[in-house]
Amino acid sequence: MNLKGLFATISRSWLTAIAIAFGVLALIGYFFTSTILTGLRLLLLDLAVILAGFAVFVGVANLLNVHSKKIKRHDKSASYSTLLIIVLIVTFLLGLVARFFPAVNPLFNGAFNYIQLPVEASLMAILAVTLTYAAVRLLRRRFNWLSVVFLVTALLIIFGTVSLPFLGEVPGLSGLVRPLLSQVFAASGARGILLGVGLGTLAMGLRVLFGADRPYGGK
Amino acid sequence: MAEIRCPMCGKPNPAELDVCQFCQARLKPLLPSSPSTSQPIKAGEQPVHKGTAEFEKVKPVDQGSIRPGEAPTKKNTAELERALPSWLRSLRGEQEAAGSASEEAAPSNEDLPFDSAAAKPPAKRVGWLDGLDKASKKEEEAVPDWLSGLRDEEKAAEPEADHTFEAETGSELGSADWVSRLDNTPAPSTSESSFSKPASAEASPFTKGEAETPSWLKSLQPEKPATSEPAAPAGGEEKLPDWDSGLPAIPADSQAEAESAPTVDQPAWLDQLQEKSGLMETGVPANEPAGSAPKEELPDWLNQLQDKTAGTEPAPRPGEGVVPDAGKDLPDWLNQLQEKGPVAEPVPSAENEPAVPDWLANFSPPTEEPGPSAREAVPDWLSNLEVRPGPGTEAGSAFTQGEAGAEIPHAEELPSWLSQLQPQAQPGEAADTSNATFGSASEPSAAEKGVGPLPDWLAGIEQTAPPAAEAPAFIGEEKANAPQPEAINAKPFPMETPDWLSKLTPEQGPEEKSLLEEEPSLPATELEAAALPSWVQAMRPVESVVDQAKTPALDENQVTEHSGPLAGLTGVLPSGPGLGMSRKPPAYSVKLQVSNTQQRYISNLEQLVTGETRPSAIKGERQKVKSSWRWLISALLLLAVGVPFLFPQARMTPPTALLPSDRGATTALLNGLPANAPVLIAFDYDPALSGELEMTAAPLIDQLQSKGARLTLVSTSPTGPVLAERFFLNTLLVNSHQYKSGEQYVNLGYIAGGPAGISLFATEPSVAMPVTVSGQSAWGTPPLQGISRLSDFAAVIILTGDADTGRNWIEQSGQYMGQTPMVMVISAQAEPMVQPYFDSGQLKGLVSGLPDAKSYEQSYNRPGLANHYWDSFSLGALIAELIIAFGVIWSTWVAWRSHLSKPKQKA
Repeated sequence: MNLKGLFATISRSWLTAIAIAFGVLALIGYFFTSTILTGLRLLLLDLAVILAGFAVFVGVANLLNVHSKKIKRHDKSASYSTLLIIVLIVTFLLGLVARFFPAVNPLFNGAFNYIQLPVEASLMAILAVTLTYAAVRLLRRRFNWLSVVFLVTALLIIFGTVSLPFLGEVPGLSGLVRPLLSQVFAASGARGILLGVGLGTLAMGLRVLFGADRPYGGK
Repeated sequence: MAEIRCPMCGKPNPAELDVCQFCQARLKPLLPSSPSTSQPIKAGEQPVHKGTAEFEKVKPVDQGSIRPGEAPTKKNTAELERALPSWLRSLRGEQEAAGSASEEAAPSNEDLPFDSAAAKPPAKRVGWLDGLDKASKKEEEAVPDWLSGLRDEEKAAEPEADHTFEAETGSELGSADWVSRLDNTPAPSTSESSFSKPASAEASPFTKGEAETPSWLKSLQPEKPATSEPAAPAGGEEKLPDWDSGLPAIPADSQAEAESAPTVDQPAWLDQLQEKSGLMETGVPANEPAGSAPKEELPDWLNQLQDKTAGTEPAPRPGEGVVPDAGKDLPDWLNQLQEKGPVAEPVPSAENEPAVPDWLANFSPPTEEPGPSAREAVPDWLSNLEVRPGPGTEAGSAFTQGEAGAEIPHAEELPSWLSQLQPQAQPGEAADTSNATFGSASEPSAAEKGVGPLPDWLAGIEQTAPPAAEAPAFIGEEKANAPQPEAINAKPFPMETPDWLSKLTPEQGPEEKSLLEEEPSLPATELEAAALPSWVQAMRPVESVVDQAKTPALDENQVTEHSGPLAGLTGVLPSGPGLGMSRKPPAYSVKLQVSNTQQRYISNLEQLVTGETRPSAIKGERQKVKSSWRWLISALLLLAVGVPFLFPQARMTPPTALLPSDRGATTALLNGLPANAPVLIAFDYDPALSGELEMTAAPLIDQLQSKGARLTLVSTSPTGPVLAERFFLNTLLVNSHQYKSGEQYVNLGYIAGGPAGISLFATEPSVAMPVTVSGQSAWGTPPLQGISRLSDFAAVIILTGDADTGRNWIEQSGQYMGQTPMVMVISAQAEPMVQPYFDSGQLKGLVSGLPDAKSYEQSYNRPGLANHYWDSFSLGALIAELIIAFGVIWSTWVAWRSHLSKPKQKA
């Protein structure tokens, strides 16, 4: 076994040990109240928060690297990559400068208020048109009972949610059908999903604590 | 055991065989030397009768070169006379002339067929017989010394030999050198000189009876001493056997007499022999002792001949450096021959002993009365030889006649081969002539003009091959020295004229000499490599056969074979179909030759094969979306949403009577908060949902602001702090309270880590968020006064559009909330997922979407954005519902129609 393989083996073992140790500590802190355990847990959480924040910064750097390579390779979207990098740098600089120079804040806020927010809002608005069009063509592409039920339910919900112009709510639809659909059927389904998510999260945590899963690397 | 190498295939055969056991070619030439037993001619042997029918196959010269496959052209028999040997033609001419001139005393020498000093011009040397000279010259080592000595004597006596006689008779007569030498003997008894044999004298064929002897041959009998015709069997002077070379040369006077007084009966071949012997003896002094060969190699009787004759001696045989002695040991008859004059050259024959042809055995040479002493010395068999001097005579046999009247020795005295020789040997004929005539068996009699059908005695001569050990007797030095082509039929007088012989042109003339001269140019390696006997080489028709000058057209189109047994012949069929010459087969490369095109095919095939196992990417179906529908829907929706804003005063939608989702819990909760209560507000929604959430959260925040609550803003989204700032600045109803950062609210900023951050903040908020977005210390500000834990807040309001974010807040901070209520303001899309938390009691209030906001505003009676967006929202929703309903109906109808049409298509 060479040195590199030995180091890999040791590192994987250490990683697994560390992950298990700290996971157990965090779990114990939930069950037992102790200053040390609490402090240790807070420390770990603080470190995790710091790492998470730095991970965002690393993500941004990786974004820059990817788009820079696209620019170097002269890909088809190299122009968009260039624009992205430029805007990223400008916004980053504005944010840095705005912290030390409040006069720059309107600029930094304007970039967000007049560029990012309208763009995202517009995408959300287009989504309304897209969903409507998809609902219209749903039966043409997949004519089955599920599709019909889906569309009928959607119509009922919409009709029960809003008041018709000049008519107001549809009697029985807004007070009975819509609450029944949204708060009974939908909620029940949601509950099941949430329980499953919770249980899965528990199992995932136990697997990490037991070393069965190693999402941090290694086999 | 002695072996004979086949002239055709070159393989060794036993000496006793006449025909090659491998290729069935004749091994022994039809020379008047020995019978089919291929035994050397011994004195006293009975001559072997030879048929002359084979001579009928020769073709006239006028016909030109005979090509293979050609049909024989019928010719007048008179034309065939050219095919006859010169000596034979001369004999015929003498016969004809004998009728007019019966008395034609031929000098002893002149009459001798092998008289080299004959007046007649040397006949044309047949090219195919030229090789005899060269072969004989070259292969002297194969010729017994005693025989070669005879030739030398002949050459010395005769300056030039007649080769034509040799060409005519070919190998049939065998070596004629000895015959030419016999002509040189002073004794007129040409029979003695011509029949000088290595062995004891044998019975001469002439003794068999003069009645059988043609008249022309009778005239060859040595009558005059001066004219001693060397009795040549059938060849020229150049074809005298080697043993004859040891005979003393016929004195020059005798030669001159022989030449000056041509006898009627002297055949042409004898004259040629004389001439040839004279040629072959060039360079050899006439007075050279007859036997230059060591005497110990010559028989006694031959040595006597040498001693006796002091005149010209027969020129040495070509290829033989041995000159017979002066003839001290020669018999008397031979000595007489030497005294007479130049001895006709021995007929050049193959290495084997020349066979005595039948025709020569059947006639007796014209007797010429030799000198008294010569007559006494000449044996009877030799004395019976007819000396026929003439222009056409060529030395064709090995006989040299001595003085005229010399008796032919008896049969028991002469060897068989000699007994068969013709007595018409002209003395004085050059050995070259005889060698040229008899040396090459392939020299056909076609060189001569056709004189008609051959007599029986001429056609019936069978060729007997001399022993392989013996050198050819009548091969001149030229031919012996010159490289000879291989595989020559060594038949001096073939019973069956081979094809190559029939193709030859009789009139070679001056070309023969040129051919003879050219022969030495041939590489000696050929002969050595083949190891052919000299007599075979002499008969090789390399250049002498091909008449290049006369038939240029043929030669241009035909290939002349240069190697193998058919060397020198033209028109030879190639060895294989379509192959003119054998060549080394082309070497084909083992490596596979692939062209570029084949390489491409290979690569294509390889790609196809490998592509079979490779899964192909499934191309997604790109449905062609009708853009008109989208434009229509967009237009309708825009219209529905925009019209209320054009008419803000008009209220198209009545107020909602519906209760909010939490059924007024949020309203009650917020109404129960004390004034100036610290409230934590988490802005965890995206900018895309800012319109809905700001509209939905505005009444609540407004209510809290109206209570003077201290607001703490935090966000787990990077855009949360900015949205929070924007919410307090731009949101209707909220901005009316003009909350200021750091005074009424504090913005803690972004909490990283997601759930971990929430958990950290929930556990230790001051540790998690120590500063504000402006960098100031947050926990000393008025909004956060008295707040150290999450439970210190009066309420926690979570503004989110994502159910997971709400769930994280609920799960991470729920245990640290204590009694602090948590209220969520969510988007309508997250309501189903968050509703259970409200139903479970983890959430104390839930406001979901525009309808709840509308209801909240109505309950609180502070119209805000929800009231402003309520008409647009209702109208837009109605348009969307109608479009969807229309689509459902239309799609159902189309599907139903297609479903109905399917059975018809199947049918």
